[in-house]
Amino acid sequence: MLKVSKLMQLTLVVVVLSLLVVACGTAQPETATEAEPAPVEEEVVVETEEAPEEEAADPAACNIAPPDSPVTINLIGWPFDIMDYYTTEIEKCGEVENIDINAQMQDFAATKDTFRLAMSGGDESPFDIMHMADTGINEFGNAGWLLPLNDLIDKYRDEYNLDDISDAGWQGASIDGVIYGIPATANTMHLAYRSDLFEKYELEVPKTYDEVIEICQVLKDEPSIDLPFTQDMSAGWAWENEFLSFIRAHGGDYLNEDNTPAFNGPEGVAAASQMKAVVDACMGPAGLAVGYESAEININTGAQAMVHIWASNTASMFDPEQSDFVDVIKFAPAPAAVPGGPLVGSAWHDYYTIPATTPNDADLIFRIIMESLDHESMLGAAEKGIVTRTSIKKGLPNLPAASETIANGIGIYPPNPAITLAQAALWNHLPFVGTGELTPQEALDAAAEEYTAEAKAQGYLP
Amino acid sequence: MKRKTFFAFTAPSNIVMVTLMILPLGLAIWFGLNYITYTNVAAPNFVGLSNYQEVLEDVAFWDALRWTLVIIMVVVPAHIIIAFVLSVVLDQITGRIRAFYLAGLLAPMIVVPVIGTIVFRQLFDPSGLIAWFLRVTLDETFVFTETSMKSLLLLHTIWISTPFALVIFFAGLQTLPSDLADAAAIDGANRLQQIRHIVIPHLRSLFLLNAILGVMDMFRLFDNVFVLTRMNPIFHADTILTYNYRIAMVVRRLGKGNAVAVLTVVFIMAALIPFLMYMYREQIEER
Repeated sequence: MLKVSKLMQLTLVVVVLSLLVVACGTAQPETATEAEPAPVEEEVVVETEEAPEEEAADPAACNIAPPDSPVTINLIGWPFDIMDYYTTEIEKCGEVENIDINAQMQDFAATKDTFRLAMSGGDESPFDIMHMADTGINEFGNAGWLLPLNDLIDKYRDEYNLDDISDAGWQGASIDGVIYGIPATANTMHLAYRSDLFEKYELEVPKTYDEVIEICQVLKDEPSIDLPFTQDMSAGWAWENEFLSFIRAHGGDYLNEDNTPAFNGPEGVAAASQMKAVVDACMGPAGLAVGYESAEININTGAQAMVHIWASNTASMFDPEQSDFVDVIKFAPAPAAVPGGPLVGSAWHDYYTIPATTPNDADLIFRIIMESLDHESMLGAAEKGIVTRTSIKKGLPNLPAASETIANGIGIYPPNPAITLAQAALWNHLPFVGTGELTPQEALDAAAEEYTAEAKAQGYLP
Repeated sequence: MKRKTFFAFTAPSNIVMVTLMILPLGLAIWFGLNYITYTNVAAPNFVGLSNYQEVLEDVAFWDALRWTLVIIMVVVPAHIIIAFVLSVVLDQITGRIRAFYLAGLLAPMIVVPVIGTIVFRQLFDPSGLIAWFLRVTLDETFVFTETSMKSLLLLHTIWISTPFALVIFFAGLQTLPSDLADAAAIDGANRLQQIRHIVIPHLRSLFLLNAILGVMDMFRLFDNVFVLTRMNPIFHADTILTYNYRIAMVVRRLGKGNAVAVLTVVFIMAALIPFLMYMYREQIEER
């Protein structure tokens, strides 16, 4: 019995020690950071003499000096064509000595959730490069989780010709003059339409949503299609995404300067009413289930005549292997909500950002990002989506339509952290406008009430 | 056995249980008493029971709980009955072909839930196979309404829940003594009578086990609800866990989200009490 007792005690000690080792883990702080700048500078001087030959020989390579010690750069983001291309460009830096690139791609919501969870604890960031859209700049920049890049931008402005990147891109990455991201691609929602059907019925490309509704009345009897027009109203967040463009196109906005809700005012009601009119005339209950991925399939297979869709979701429309109507799908700027008003499309961008608590050298990370966003890289990226360098004029067939929407649309995403609470409230109530369960005013008032309660709880309202 | 020896033997599993179950539950209860968002995780603000009060006063919470209970009352009996019938039929099949059928019946368990749900939903999209079939044969356009979405949810949940129960019943059938069935056959009992008077009593404990696991699983339902409904509120199909997701991940009230999680545990325990009492009584009777 004594021996068994000792054996059990030994087992207990081993188990407890094992749990402690697993639970605690180890951290390996970068200790060489301070020592790095001097040797890097020396190496840069040496390489400068050799660099012109290397760059001329292979400008598509990652032309940065290897760091002194091995470093792994962790990138997180979500995949779509142009960002996949940039990820491949970043991964080229993994061929540089001592640099290892680890790219983790998830969907949009999961990426933000992962970053949010990682940064909220206040410890070192597990990521070094974070792909982010405007909503992320707003939320994470205001939370202090992103590294301000102004100094690095000034340092490398000439080397990477950063003034070539559009002002709208830099504005979208900024909060009160502090730049948190490097614009990689622009995006907006514009119109894709079947030009053959427009010719058949002698239709003009719509400039306003009233004209869209008129065209729907004509096309709804076309036997070859199921739906004349859709925009993504398949989920609460999709309704809110469209509503932001509509309300701003009507001259309104989500919040007043004191963070009280403005979205349930006359402009918001007009916007929601117009969205409801589009649902009734063009989409019906079946159209309410069509998300932008389904709409992309629909227009490629001929089930749909028009769609209000992201520019980043049009690559398949140029591919004969994915679309039966490659030759007749054309693109136009987003229609306006009111004649002469802003187009119902935003100036969205996707960015690469650096977490504020990255354990690695921010200078190195910045250069790795810029090697993927230099002029040479963006020339290739222009075949995948809308690039942010204004000197690059070539692009996909939808580039003129998207560019005009970006230039004449509702502008950049509002940089107010309270916006996220307004979004959440609108997600929960706007869809009922489409089904008719609530009038636009009722839905917006309910969202305003929900937003106000939560904004007070979280300190955005007194 | 001496008490000291008993505790020594059970110490490893107790430590694991405390570390992985009791401690997190305790932390969840504590976090639920605090106001926490992503920006003040390191310095939460103690607010007592106000998170719990907010949740219990939220109509959306009770709607989600009600729908979760409906799912339990429909899916748990349905998947148990279907799994039992399939296991009895499968048990009749002999030879190598049985493995082929078993593999097919277990396929829903092997398919990644999110992928399976995406494919399932796509069947009913306007460009989907079933939607096309309905259009061509019945001239009907399938529309995602509250009724159709909830029906699809129930159907899909039964589909993904049945294989596991099937495995449990099938394993139980292998322990059925063949001489009982032979004796019953000699006495003139037909197949249905044998199932009713021999098979079902033999598998009674497995019916209970599947019911308990089913109830617990339905409270954890998230993947297929999230993907099928796309969290669209017009379907009124939020379960407890998708409601919790809205609170914690959309509105970002982590403390309130923990309060929902703790309340969920309470409701699960309340739902399981009748089953546990029945098991306890059975064990007492056996002794």
